[in-house]
Amino acid sequence: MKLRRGFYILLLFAGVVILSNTLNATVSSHKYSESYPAIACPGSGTGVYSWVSVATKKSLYRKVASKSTKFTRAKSSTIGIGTNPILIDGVGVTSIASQSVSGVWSGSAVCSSAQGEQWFIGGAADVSSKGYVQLVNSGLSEAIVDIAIWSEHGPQVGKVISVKANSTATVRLDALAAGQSRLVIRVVPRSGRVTAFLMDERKLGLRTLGGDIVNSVGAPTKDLVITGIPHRNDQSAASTHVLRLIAPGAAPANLRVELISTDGVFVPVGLDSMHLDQGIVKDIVLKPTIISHIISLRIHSDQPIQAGVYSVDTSSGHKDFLWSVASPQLVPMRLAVNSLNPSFYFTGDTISISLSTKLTSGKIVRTILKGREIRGWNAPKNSQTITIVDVNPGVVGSVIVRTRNGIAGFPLIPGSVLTRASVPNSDISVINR
Amino acid sequence: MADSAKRSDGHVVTAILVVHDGVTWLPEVVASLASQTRPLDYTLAVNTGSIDDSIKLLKNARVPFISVERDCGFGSALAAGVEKIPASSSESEWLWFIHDDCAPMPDALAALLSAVAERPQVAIAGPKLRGWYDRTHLLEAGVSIAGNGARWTGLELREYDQGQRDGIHEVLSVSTAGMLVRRDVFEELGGLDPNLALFRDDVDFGWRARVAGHSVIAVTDAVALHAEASASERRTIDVKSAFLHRQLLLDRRNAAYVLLANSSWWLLPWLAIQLFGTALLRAFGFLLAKLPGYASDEILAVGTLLIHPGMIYKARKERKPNRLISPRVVSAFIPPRWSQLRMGTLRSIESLRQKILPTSTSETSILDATNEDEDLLTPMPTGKWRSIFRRPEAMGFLALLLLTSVWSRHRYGSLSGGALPSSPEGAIDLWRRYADSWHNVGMGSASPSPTWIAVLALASTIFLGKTAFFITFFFWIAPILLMWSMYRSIGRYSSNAWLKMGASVSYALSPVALASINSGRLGTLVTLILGPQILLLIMKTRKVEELSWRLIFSISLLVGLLTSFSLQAFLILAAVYLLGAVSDYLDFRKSHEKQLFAIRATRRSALLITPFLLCLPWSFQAIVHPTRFLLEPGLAIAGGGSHLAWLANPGGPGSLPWWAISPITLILVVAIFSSTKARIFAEFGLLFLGAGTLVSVLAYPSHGNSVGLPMWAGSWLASATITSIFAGVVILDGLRKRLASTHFHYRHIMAGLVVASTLFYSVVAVGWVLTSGANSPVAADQESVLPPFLAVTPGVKTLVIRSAPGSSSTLSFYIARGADSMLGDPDTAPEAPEQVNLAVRDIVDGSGLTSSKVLSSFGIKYLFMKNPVNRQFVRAVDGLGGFVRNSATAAGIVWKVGNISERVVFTNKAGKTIGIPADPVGTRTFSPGAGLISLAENFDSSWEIIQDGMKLTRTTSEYGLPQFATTQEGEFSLLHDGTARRGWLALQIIVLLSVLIMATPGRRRRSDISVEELT
Repeated sequence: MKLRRGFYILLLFAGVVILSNTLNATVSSHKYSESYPAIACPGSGTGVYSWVSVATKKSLYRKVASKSTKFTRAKSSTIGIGTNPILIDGVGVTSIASQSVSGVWSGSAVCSSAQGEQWFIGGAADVSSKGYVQLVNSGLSEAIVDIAIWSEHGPQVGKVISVKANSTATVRLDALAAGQSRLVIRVVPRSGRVTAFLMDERKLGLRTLGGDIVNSVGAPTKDLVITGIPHRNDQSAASTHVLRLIAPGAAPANLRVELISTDGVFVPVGLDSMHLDQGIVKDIVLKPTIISHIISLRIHSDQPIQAGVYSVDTSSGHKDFLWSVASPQLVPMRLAVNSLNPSFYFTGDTISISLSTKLTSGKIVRTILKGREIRGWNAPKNSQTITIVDVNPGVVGSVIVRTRNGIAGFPLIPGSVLTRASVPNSDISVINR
Repeated sequence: MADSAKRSDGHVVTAILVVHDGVTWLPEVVASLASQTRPLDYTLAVNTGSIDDSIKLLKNARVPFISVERDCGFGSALAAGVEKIPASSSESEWLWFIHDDCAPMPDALAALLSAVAERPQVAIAGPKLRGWYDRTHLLEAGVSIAGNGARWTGLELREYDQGQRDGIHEVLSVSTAGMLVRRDVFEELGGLDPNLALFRDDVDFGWRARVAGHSVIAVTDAVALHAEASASERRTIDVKSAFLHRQLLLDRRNAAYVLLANSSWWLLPWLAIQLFGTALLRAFGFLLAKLPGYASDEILAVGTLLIHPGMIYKARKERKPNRLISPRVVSAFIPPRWSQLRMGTLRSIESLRQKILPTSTSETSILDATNEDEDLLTPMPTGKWRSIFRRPEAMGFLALLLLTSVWSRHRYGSLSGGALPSSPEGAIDLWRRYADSWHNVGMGSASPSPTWIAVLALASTIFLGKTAFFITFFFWIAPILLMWSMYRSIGRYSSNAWLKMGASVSYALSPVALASINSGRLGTLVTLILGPQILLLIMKTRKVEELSWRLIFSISLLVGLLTSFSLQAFLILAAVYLLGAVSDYLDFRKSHEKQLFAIRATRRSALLITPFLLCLPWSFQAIVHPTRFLLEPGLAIAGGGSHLAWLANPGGPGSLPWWAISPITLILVVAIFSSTKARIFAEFGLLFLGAGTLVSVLAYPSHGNSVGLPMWAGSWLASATITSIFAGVVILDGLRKRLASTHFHYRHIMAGLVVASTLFYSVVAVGWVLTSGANSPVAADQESVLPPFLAVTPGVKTLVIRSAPGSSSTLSFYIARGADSMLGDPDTAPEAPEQVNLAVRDIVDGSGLTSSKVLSSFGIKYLFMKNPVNRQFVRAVDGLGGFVRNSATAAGIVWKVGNISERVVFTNKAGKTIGIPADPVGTRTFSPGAGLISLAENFDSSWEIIQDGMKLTRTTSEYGLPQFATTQEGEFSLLHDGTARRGWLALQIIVLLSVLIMATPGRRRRSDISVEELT
């Protein structure tokens, strides 16, 4: 009888152990807060027409550097921007800021939320340069920003810029690295919510050489793909491209550049195993003789590098230049493209993308793109938003917008990213040693 | 007195024998007087209305006597006797006062006279007093009075007289029993004070003689035997001035009288305080000893005297003419306070030693055959010191001492970390924390402090107020205490000292013990220390009807102490009691013995309820919030979950790795099939282990943590460990012999498994303790979380935000009040208000434009992100308005919160706000006009503001904080009314005192002690 009782207790114990270990599934004790932080779009210089495509007329925005910090409705699918940048409550839609000078140049940039580190591969500070860095402090506290500059002569003396709360600061490129013609700029906010933009406008005397907004990229990587580089190979205006490279680390890089086009993939002469000294900005002229009017570059390096391509293109009879930058891997995103007529270019070993286009009429058009290496796609006219619903891994993308004022482009990077932050929990042990 | 009576020594001695119902001792007393080697010149008895055969006896002995009233005091009786003695022409006439219970030895008078003959300055001499029945018991050799009124003989309790006090000593006074006094001095000083009818008249007389310039000596060659009949309550106190005729009352009253009447005037206030304080303490002691009569005597004695200051004044006036030299002359005879303390301590230690290590009786006897050839010069063998290493308890102690000293190498200093918060500076801070009705933790809390705070405060007080030192010592000594506790308890289950010691050391190194020490679990440690003792006591409750009430309350007191640290342990014991109650009920169903069932039920109820009542009001909170039954003191730190718990390893920071599997579960499983008593232990052990495993899965927000963490099942696992050790000892005791005598079967395999796993665990545990186990979360002198400049202003609120260890994206926060969390803070910590939670969440997701306003409304002045910082959070704060960076150092980043963030804020009718300086809790400050006074503390109905004697109306602000409407400018008092807290504390003290009185052994009244025992 007594032994039987012991046996039952043992059975009970075993049951409890099994039950407990079953219940002991890992349960996260933390809650998360998901939100789309507001995105900043650059203000324009004088004489420059600037606007932003937004998802709907109900999109909320406010001007930076104005007294009011209240968001108001856009009332239109495009918002005109003056010299003051604007802040848009993006709610998951990436807005594109476009700027142009009538008949002279055109440029586009992805409006984005504050980022930790922004790299700009492009721009010059020589006599032709009218370029500047625009620092947008959309926060309500004073910000301090570190600007580091590299040129063909190596790293330049950096600058620390203080930007007042809810305001912008403009730093001319010739003030950062006077006389240097090949620039790579890194902007890191030490404190504050700062988004930086780089305007590269060039004039030689009274002759306009064009302009562009250089889109920012993230930290240096060993593998990068620059897609959507416009190319022309007709006898009247054969395209010349300048590949700008830098190995900002402490060691020189050895790299290999592949050119991808609809004509095939090949390595240009001399770029199979190229040496790149650390800290020196190097420009390499590319003049491929291929039929394809769009090319991509795939670069593999043994050290983290940054790269951008400067291309000159003719649009409506005048020349304009474009800085193409490396695109990160494409992820599902939604893009406001109202009044842009964009052309999309994707690069990847295998391309399979599902797109959904919302027209201004409200109609939804679904498209599936498939291909290998490089694939282009022109968005339907009167597109309001384009959603990348699904994409296979390893694909990058960019957009080119041709207008009568010039050529513009931007990488397909989500500007309004869902931010998932752990909601802090109250716990007195944080004030225990 | 006739001149013919004068002897050759030139002295004339008259004995005055005062008789009061002394027939018991009188024959021997009269005989002793008659047999003096130096005959008395004259003898006179003074009968104070004896109602026994004393008069008859005096008559038969032909002792001349006079009679006085029965209520006549001793001094008055002497005075009456002296009056009857005719004056002598001799210059050296002496009076010898003899009590009717005091028999001088034959040569006593001769010795006294011999001593005074050589010392002409001596006016008073007294013999050495020995016990009447135990004639080796030294009672007195001179007497004095201590500053607190105690009669001071300078002797140890029941001191054996072997001549160690012999000699002629200058003393303050000698007892009137056998006092030899010069007649002229006696008359000059006015005799004994009639206000001191009995007791202390001797000290007073000696004191007066001293300040009159005379000497008083104790002559130990003169010996008298004294029965101390009045002091030992052998006869009634019939004297007129004795209020209520109580011996102790009269003694204490007279002691106070002597001190107040004779001391320097400037000492009187201090003496009065000292006397009253001592009376209170002694009364408390008598209450504990269940002698309320004596307790009231103490208070009444001082009280009756202090309400008659005229009597003291008169007495001092009467003494003044004879006070020829400074009263300071007696200071040499007043024992210093340390002497009393030393004596008291020695007595306590001796009494404790006798209980713990009773004096062993000698193994040799006078009956033993002696070796005639033994050389007397050869030293006696006293045992080699090396033999200590053959004693397992000494070996275990030394080994564990060495181990814990190495293991604690990072814990020498002020400890904190793990579940253990920092220690406050002193015991007084802990007492204050316990008594306070409002705790400045987080946004403030009115939760009652846990009872263990008071226990720690008491222990820290014993450690001269050094709380940090006590905590360090406790964690260092804990393994030794665990070993000692188990060794002491396990004794009745095995006589094998090595087995007991092995089990005790294993217990001290059990997974739950190691984890508790490393992670600062006070509750579990106390459970582990008290557990084995309580287990033995609980086993006695199986026949609860046979237990005395004193034992029941003793058990309750011990369980109460455990409950104060661990409600989890109380829950376990409550479950055991309930099982006992169920068993009682089943018995009742069979036997129908209603009375027996009622007795059992009453006693079990007392066992269950008393510990709970001892921890009021803290324990009461557990009724309202039952999850508190599962919590232990300190910070909420996750346990290791069920996959470790079923192996009796609680897991969590500082615990053994999973692969260090202890034999605890295996022993329980093996023991459950045992046919010995081990099975009972194993059954309970497995139940505890199962319950602990289940508890370790639970997660509940608690102790200042808003998310549930896997609970610490420490006390459940500690109980399982204790039962496992008991079961193991029962199994292993004599097992070798049993196994050797039987054929090989499964028992051999099981025993082998148990021994092998124990050896494996022992090696692993010792190795771990000596290496990585020393890097415990609890460590000494850790760096403060808050930068020092945030602690400059006391009570300033800082919202501290910190990344979780190993995950920079997981953030936690809490409101600090100028310091890190202290002992007791987590146990009273409130949850952060919902608005603060939202404000912090909004900061994190970057949408908190109004966060700074919300935080400042809660009085939060700074936002501090501890390093390593979360960059996303830093950018978010920088991007939001209302936070200004103050500093960015190696400690972290500090932002100052914009807006007014004072604790007390005044808002006028126009909506303008200004901060009002205020102390951390209550304050007296100024209101600049009519408006609203807001208080940045959690709302509590005890918050009050009093302005011009009126309470202001209390409402709640939009954030749920208390605010008060004032209609005028002027000073006001902000206070947290602690009446309810004080009421609860009073109730707790009453319960504690009652239980203490019930639990302590009752002291006998002096009248209940046999006279043989006393003298």
